[in-house]
Amino acid sequence: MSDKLFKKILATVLITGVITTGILVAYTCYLHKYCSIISYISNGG
Amino acid sequence: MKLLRQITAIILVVLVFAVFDLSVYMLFTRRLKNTNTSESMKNNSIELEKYMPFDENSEVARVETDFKITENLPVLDGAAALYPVFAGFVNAVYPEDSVVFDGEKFTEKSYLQYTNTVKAYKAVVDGTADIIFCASPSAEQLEYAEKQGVELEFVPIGKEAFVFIVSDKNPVSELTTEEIKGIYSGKYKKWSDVGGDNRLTDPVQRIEGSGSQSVMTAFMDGVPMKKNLLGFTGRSLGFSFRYYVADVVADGGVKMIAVDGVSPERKNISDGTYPLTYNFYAIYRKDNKNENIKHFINWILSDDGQEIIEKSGYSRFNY
Repeated sequence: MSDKLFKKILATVLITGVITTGILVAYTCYLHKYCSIISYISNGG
Repeated sequence: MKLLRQITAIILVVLVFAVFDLSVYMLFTRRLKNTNTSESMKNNSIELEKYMPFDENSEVARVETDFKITENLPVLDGAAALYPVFAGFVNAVYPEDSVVFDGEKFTEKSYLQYTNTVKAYKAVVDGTADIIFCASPSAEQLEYAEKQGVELEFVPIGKEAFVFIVSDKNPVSELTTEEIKGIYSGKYKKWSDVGGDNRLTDPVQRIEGSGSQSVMTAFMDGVPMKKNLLGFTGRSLGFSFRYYVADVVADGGVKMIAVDGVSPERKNISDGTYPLTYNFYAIYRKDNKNENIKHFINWILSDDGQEIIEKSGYSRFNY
């Protein structure tokens, strides 16, 4: 694998990872705003 | 060899993201997802039209009664959570044209009003409402009445319980008041300290100034409440008024626990054996000359009035 291709793949993986994590964190923050106390207690087991 | 290192590096990066995201999901996202029980919670929020008097599709509590008021109707208002109760009173006793609703709110001509505890206390002191239905007043509300030179009469008409809830997967179904205080004060950090399993306790609090948080603060009797830092990985303990959680419990997901060996069943609330029972009141100005106020409250304390309280999800004052 050429260095150029390796860097391209690595950059793509990094960007995808950052976007996915960002979406997950944003979704979690959204849930935190609207989650009812009942759901929170129920989900905790 | 170089290719192997490159592939390993890419796999490592993917793994780092995957492990991080999975951890976030398992620790936080999964915990905060609204389950079907939250839908029941939403349905329990008070919707004006759901309990509209004289509407055949309304879910307002209904009883047949001979007692009717046709003139000098007292203007009614009260706490949002008690709206289904006093809407039921109106439906049973008042004439149909006493309620004027413009599609969003009750107009000034309506003898049924719906605000909230804070506004209702102000309304009865100011004389814009004749009877309000609320829990005990705060120090500020009493102070406002005193400043205006108004004396209020409090007639207890029903009972409501302050309840503690845990997940239905939690093996603990009963706590003493001392154990509850211990969990909220940080003394008991694991459920095993109070007869449960080895998971962390997670004492959940409400927004400062909310009714349930105020009751909880009074219950703690000056002992400060602390959060368990890693409690979100454990099992939670929460609190609420019974009215808001009774239906949710039926859906599963959470359960109300017994306190000092007494479960918060209606009978135990009405006869006062459940230790965290609170009265709610019909409140009016002592100098209010409307004779129908006393007749109306006497009817509320009769079997018919108490049946409406019970059908609306609360417990009778006269059991």
